[in-house]
Amino acid sequence: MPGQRFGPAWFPGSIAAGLAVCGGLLIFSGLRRASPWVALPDWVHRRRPLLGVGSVVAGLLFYILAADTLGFYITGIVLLAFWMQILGASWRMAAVVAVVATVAIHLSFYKILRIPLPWGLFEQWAF
Amino acid sequence: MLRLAILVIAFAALPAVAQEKIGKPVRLVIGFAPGGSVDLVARIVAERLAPRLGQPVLVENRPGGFVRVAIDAVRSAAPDGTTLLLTSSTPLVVTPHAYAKMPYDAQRDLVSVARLVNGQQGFALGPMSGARSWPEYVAWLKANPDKAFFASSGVGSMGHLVGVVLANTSGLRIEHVAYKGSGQYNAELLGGQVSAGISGIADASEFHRTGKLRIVATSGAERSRALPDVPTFKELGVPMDLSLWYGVFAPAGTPSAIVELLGRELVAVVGAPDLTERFINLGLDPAAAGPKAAAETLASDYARWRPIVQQAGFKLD
Amino acid sequence: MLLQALAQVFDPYVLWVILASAAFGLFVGAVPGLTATMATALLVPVTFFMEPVPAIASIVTATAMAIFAGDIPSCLLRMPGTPASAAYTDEAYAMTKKGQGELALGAGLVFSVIGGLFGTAVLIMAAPALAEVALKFSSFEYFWLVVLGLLCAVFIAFANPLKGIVSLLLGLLIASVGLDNPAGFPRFTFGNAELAGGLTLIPIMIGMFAVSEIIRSVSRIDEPWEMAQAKIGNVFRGMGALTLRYKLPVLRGSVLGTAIGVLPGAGADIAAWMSYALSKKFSKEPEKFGTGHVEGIIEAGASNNSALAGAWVPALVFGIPGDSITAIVIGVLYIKGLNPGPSIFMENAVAIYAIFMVFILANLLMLPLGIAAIKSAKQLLRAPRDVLMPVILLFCIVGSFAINNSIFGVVLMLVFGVIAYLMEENGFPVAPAILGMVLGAMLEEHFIRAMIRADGNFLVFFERPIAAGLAIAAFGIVLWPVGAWLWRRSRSAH
Repeated sequence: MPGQRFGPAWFPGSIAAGLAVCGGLLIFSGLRRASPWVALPDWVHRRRPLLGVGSVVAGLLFYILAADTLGFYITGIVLLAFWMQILGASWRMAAVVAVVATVAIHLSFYKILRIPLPWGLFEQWAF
Repeated sequence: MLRLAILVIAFAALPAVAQEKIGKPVRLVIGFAPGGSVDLVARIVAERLAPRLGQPVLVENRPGGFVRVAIDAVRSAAPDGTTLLLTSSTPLVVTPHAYAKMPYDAQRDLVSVARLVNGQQGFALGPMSGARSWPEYVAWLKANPDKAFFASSGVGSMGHLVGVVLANTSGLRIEHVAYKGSGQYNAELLGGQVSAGISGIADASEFHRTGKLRIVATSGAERSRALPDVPTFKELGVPMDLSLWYGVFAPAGTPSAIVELLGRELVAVVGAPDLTERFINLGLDPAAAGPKAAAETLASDYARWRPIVQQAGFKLD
Repeated sequence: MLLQALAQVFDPYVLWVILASAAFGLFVGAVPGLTATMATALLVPVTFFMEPVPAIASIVTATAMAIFAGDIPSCLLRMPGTPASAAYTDEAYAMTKKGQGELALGAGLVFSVIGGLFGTAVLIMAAPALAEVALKFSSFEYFWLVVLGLLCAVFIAFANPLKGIVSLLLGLLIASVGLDNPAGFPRFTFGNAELAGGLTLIPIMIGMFAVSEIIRSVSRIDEPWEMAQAKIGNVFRGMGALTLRYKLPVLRGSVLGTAIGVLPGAGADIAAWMSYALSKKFSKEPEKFGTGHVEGIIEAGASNNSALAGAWVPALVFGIPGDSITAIVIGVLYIKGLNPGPSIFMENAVAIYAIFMVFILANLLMLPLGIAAIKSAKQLLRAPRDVLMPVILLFCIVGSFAINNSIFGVVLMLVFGVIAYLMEENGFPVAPAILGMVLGAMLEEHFIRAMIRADGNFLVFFERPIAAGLAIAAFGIVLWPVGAWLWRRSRSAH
């Protein structure tokens, strides 16, 4: 833009420079302490936590990809039940809470807060 | 036989009639954060439109890039009448001429549903210059070239363009300072940090009424109904006819039955007498028109603005 | 006239509206991802049908509750409900882990009320005068103010300031994505429409606090879950003693909060962060900060509620928004025919008095409702972890979606949740990144605009008195520890 000496690249550019400096300092101090480049946390070696964390990420991905097509009800119930199972809840508890929570969340967000969660497959019954 | 034919025709017409209902809540997307005049108009319209459509109408704020984010959101939405854009005409008919490359094309990506109101820009003076009229301000500018800045509510906004055209036609040297929205801009104008500002009349009309700011000229062809005693730039000897309108648009490909329905209802909403006064208070002149008229205005405006923008040297990239 | 206003406020319909809005505000504030600004925007269509006084009453009450309610999940689950709570989430959560959650929340509540009442008192008594001062602030002053705010982040980073700075820079970098910069130039958008809108703060905040905490919690699933919590007894117990002990932080927090609220464009978020940092700086026990110490929570809690009241000063006096909430309120006032500005004090004095009373009422109402909210939250959180975590995660998903009605919010939540988890495992604090995001856009906007006005000459940044004062404060913050360090070195060398 005419008249502006500091263009749009200035701000991120300075930040990047700052990051480079700090990053360099950190690497330097890390090298001094002779710490390893990459270290994995110890829970990746245990089955339950690994499964748990993996399911959190996988579940979120599932929601991102499927919510619009399947709709909030289906995705929500499936996800909640899935997660609760992985964490060790009983079948019955998981199913009941999944349904109740999904319905409650949908109703309160839609009716009170006017936030349209995706209807997906239920679109013909939308209210 | 005739009765049968009539029945058959009636039944055949039913689906067409049934298609005209919108089955889901409608999102009215606007390109600014809550609290500006576009937002205000959108909320007023949404509230009146909802009972007519039998569906909730929710205002969705998608600020960013001078309506670009909102336009993108609407043009890529499903063309079933449930996602609408409410915007001033500026990003659709002015901004495209100022950029070499545009990510959207209003006439290709959107279909016009209705024109709602017309609006003008007001040239507002704050206490910094002490001037109370355009000639006084010009004199002050000449005496204080280092303070020659005018504020606008955003890069690429109509106020920005008006300022550039003003500088060109009057030969004055005045530089542009962009603000985000009118809140801080009014603060700095009132506080005497910047001498003048150009933006929609609504942004300064209340201050003008109470005497804190002075709108000394408007940018349109005729005086605004909200400020009947403020001359236009044309009257002051600076030829200018720059105004904008607010309209509602749907994604291209929306069925014409739905566009017609929405257009009809929107025109009816804007035509309500109690809203007329509200709009005038906001510095907007009600000028409701349906889909066809709105599309024609869009097309003719797009052609009209090109030479103006190019002549003004208004380039943003 | 006062009696008229009283009558208007204590009308049964208005009282009912206040109660309902309070509940609404509590709900919105407590759900991570829904902010007080959102609560206000959602109330606008509802207020169309109301008279001015109940309309404004509903917004005032809802926002006051929402700002406090954000503290509840922030303290108990480490998931800030609003960006203002993010300033002291870690501190409050540390207190919860020590079994002092009730103290943290109780203090947050009581001192929020005190801060809110202080701000209201200032609003009532000094609004026009303060507004005039606020107008003296231009981009030069704001620039230094934002710099001060950012430097506060360096203070909050406890263990490793260098990592804190990296986190802050990361936040600033995230803020620079999108079209929304002074030049209107698309940065880091890769042609994607969603990215062009920038990376929204709220989903990222949810991801960085909530999702990363969930990941951490799940990775420890083999360990017994310590919601080690004393029973929530009388929330007010000990508050008297706290007030006496920390009267200076309370006062400081309320004053700073109100002052920042009065400035157009700076609101509760910034106030909370700066107050928390100031609290640590001036505390007699700075080493306790970060381990679960209530002092910072007191000061920041008072600050963010007083900022809410302060934001109404420029809004009522000039019709200029003091924060994003009042931006919406001004619109509502216009719609109701109550045009803000000097005329409102003369033409509509009764309405103004009524609004003031509503402020007082809303703040007082926070006490019983806040206690109820805290107690019900505790009950809800007694649920077993395997049921609770998934439901909370679903709330987070919806909260991230809600801000823009876009699934991209959920994407941001996931991505930054993972990033934040990795960051924290490596000792990088997350809070400075959030602050960087809150302030990044402001920093650039004010710097560029000030530069345009100064015609490229940086020295102009020091010319104006307030700007110079703020600049000195900023340099002082940076140079003081350096100076102290040098001084100590020279002393020990002898």
